[in-house]
Amino acid sequence: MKTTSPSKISPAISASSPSSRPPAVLIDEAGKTYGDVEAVRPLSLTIRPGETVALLGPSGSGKTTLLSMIAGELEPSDGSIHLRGRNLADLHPGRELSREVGMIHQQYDLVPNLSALQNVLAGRLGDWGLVKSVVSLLWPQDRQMGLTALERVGVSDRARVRAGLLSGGEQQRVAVARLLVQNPAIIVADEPVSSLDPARADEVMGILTEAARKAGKTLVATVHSTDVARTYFERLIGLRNGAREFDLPSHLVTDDQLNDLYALEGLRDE
Amino acid sequence: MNERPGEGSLGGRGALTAILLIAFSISLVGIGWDDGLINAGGFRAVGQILLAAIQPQLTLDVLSTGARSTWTTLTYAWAGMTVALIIGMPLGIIGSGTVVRSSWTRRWNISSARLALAVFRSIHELVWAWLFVAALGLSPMAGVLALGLPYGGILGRIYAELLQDVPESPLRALRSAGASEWRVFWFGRLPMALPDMLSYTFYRLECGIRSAAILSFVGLGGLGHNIQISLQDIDYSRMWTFVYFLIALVVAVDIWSSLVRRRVAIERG
Repeated sequence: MKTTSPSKISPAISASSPSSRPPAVLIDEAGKTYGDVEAVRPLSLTIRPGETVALLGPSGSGKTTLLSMIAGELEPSDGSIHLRGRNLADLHPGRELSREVGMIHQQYDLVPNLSALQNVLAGRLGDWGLVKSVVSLLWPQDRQMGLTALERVGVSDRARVRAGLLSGGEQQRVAVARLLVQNPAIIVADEPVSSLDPARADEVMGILTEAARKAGKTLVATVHSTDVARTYFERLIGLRNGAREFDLPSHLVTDDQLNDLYALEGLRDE
Repeated sequence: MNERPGEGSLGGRGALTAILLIAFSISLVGIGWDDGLINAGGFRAVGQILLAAIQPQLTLDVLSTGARSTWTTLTYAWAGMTVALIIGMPLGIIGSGTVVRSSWTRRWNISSARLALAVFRSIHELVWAWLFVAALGLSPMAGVLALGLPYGGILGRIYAELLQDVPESPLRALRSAGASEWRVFWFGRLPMALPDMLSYTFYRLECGIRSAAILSFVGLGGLGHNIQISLQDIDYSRMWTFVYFLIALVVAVDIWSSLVRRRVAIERG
């Protein structure tokens, strides 16, 4: 097995960073095992508020498992995860959790029969009462907020179109707009552009990272393409076999490190 | 090889078919063909009925009776479907078990709602009609309830299944946006299931029109009642007029339903 990378940041160190705000994400020896299989070996890391982090690694590396744990969809088998200073396990699933973290998936996330605007406004469901939610099906509430979000992702002209009739790129933009309306502190994205063609993928990734940066959101994403990761994210974390291989500012990650990360077992430089 | 049941027994199946065919041929021989099995005058009657089909009675009197009884039949079907929706919608939602999180409550909800729906629909509308006519007399309410109960049972069962079968990932996204199960239902489940629910409801309305026509044989008035009277009078031309009214009614509902569905449905893929 390889030794851990030199730049491993321990939570203790970054907790004493100049910012007095608690870290957006603090993972303390959290891991996930399924029976005998260690999907993610216990690891610790800290993500500062506003940071954009890409998780890289071949399939089976544990990056999606790690992401799901940060999103609160999976409970870690050991260790703990704190979001903005609060233990994830203590957050009430639903409304409370949705304030902390919002997730965007690969595709098919929108309700196809509802308009783009209504899909965006679904981001408000955690705040709306039941009556307001039902009324909103016929007369969309907080309309202006939804339109503003659609404008920010560049599809305000499609507000009235049913989501199922939008192109893949447009659908993913609408999903980003819904997250903006939900307004969580941390945005978690699972391969957000891997179902789009390269040009569209670039566009949507640009919009996602730009929107996160402007709104001061922390963004953690699993990313398929190393080019996309290097272009749009400040920090790259490489995972392999459930363990961290490197954790570096993206401009310091070398091609060798990336090649090594994805190399087939047995072909790696020891 | 030949381990799956039913496979490899091809020879056996062939033999069974042969035995059945032989039994059928023997039974043909055993029938007393001359003993009035076929009504000799029947062929003439069929001829008359077919001939009458191309010359329906179009007098003002018959046409206005036809229009009025078409309206009556449509009203019965419509009122019956309303009752069916009032029964089927809530029971279907409860029976889908989609708005409760606790698994024990869910199981109890599903089984009790489904049992009620099964009771409603396992009894045919004609039997319900006899029961209600016996209880309420020959009143419109008897016809409406006779139609509404079994149709409610059918609608509820289909609704429950359609609500369960919507894709899960948009629902998961709504939950992660902080929506409770009821909000997920209104904003995700119902909109996604609605086109299929609507289309099935329209199909049921068509069936309801046919059933309402049949129910009017019980004496509740409407197209079926007039068809029955014409048959008793052996007035095939008049009968056909009413049959054409019935066909026109079903076709009209079909056209209407496809217009509505086109507005609601979206192309997939």
